[in-house]
Amino acid sequence: MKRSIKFTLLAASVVFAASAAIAQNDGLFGKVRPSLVSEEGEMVELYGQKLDPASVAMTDTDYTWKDLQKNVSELLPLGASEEKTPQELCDYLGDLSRLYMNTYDGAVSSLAVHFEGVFPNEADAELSVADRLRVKDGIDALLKAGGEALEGKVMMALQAHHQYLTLQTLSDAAQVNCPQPPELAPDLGAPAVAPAGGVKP
Amino acid sequence: MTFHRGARYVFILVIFVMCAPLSAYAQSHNCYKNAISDYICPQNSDIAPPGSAANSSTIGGASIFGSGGAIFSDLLGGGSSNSGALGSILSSFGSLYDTLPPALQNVFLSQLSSLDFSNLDVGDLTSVLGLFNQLQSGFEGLSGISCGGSGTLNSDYLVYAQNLYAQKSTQFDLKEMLGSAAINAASNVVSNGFDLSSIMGGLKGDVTSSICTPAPGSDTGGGATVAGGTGTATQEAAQAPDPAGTVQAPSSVTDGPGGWTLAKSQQAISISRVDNAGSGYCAKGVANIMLQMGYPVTRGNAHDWDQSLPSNGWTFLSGVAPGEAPPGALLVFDSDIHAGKPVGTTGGAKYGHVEIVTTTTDGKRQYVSDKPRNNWGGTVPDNYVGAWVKT
Repeated sequence: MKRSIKFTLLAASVVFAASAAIAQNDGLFGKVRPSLVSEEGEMVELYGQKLDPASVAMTDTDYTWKDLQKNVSELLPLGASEEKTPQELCDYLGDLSRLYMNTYDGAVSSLAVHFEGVFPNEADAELSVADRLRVKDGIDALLKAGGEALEGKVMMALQAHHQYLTLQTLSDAAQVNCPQPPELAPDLGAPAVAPAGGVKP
Repeated sequence: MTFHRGARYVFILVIFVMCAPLSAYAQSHNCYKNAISDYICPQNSDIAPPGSAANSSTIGGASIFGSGGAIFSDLLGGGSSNSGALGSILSSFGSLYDTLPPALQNVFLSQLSSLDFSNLDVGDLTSVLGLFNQLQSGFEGLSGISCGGSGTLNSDYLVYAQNLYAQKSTQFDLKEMLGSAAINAASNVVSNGFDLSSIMGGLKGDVTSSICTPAPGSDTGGGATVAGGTGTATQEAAQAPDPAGTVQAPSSVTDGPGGWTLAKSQQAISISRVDNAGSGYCAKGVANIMLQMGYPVTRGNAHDWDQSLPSNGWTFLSGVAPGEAPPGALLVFDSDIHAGKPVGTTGGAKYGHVEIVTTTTDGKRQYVSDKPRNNWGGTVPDNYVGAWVKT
């Protein structure tokens, strides 16, 4: 009898996985408000500034801006109503993106505890997890290796990854309009000292 | 497996409808690897997405625990002396689920799916219910966070706080808590369950400190990573790097080609700990570091760096193994794709790996990209291409 309960809860987990999977196509948190994304799906207007996140070089990941753009309205609800100068927007998105990065890094660390020694010839479990979250085939590998009990945690970590990538890409796109050294824009990041948001976990 | 027929039909119907949107995703992915999703997830379903004109059903909500609570009721309908109490509690689960914000609904399902219900009783379930009531309350309380009297969070930061809270709520081990006699014996308990105060205080405290106290220059992270391992099995754990944003021991002693010094190693390590390259993003991290330090590199996937480094004035070191490359050298590892091998499931296997050789103040080697690590090669140590130095 109780195994049946377990079965049903696993089904619920699948529903969650399905919801997260939907996020791959329709955004993690729902539909994008049309005002934020152009018909071409490239230019984004945020805080009164036009950004071109699709032009930012996204390296080492399967995900593109098309996968991420639908998260914008949910993650930045003020983006459609408030205005900022280019420099203010750079600072603002830089701070927020680092916070989301720290959350993502924390999710990786938390999940990695369950993957110690799981992948042969990979000594760093955090890297094993992170390296799989950024490629689409890797998610399946994590789900398979982690089993049913970790399915929810894997999908939550994936969600954190997408949130980080979304903010990171917008932040990089905003740098184009800021007085940064040209060799660092648009895909820059490294500040001289620890920024708001602190150091990596 | 015991599974009442009526419940099974309801179950299959509900899951089939809910899983339908997986179809688009499943075109590029295998269905998730558990017995249920292998069974119910349609690879090429033509069912319209929930909420569309052709399919008015919705994801989540009452169909799982509310009206769908009939699933549980049927499953618990006989054979258990506590079936009535269990059914009532699980019905409460449904009511709670319906009121949770989406972020916490995911947490709820994630945590429940991790439990082994064969060892839980009415008291345990009551405790779980109490926990999620508390989590919901804490979630709603996030809107009251203020940083040093500067007012409450704006909506963007509140969304961030809620997302962080959801992540933190996923990370504690509910199964362990339910089995902990020490926690059950605590004075601050819900029903006959476990202590919630430490979790709740910790969650809100973590969220608040994350937003309000960026602690520039502080050292909150562990520099040393997993010891042992890939390619350097005999290497000891390295010393934690200097605090972020600072450069200690500004030694002018040159320990690498092109005037690379110990101070530059420390600077590279420090930058890696505060830049915007998240876990696994090695090429972004190396580019952040090198560009900030004034070394010319071209951004791009790691497996392309062996092509771009020469044009930026970097010299290939012939016959030098990763563990022998001098500080300041860039180590490049190919992707499986470029190497002509079967492609693994990691980012390294698909995009390659790149890192900087550094030394710590006590002479230990660290390999720096998105963060300092003791081992070279990332997840593709067998794909070593070579070392490059800027002379």
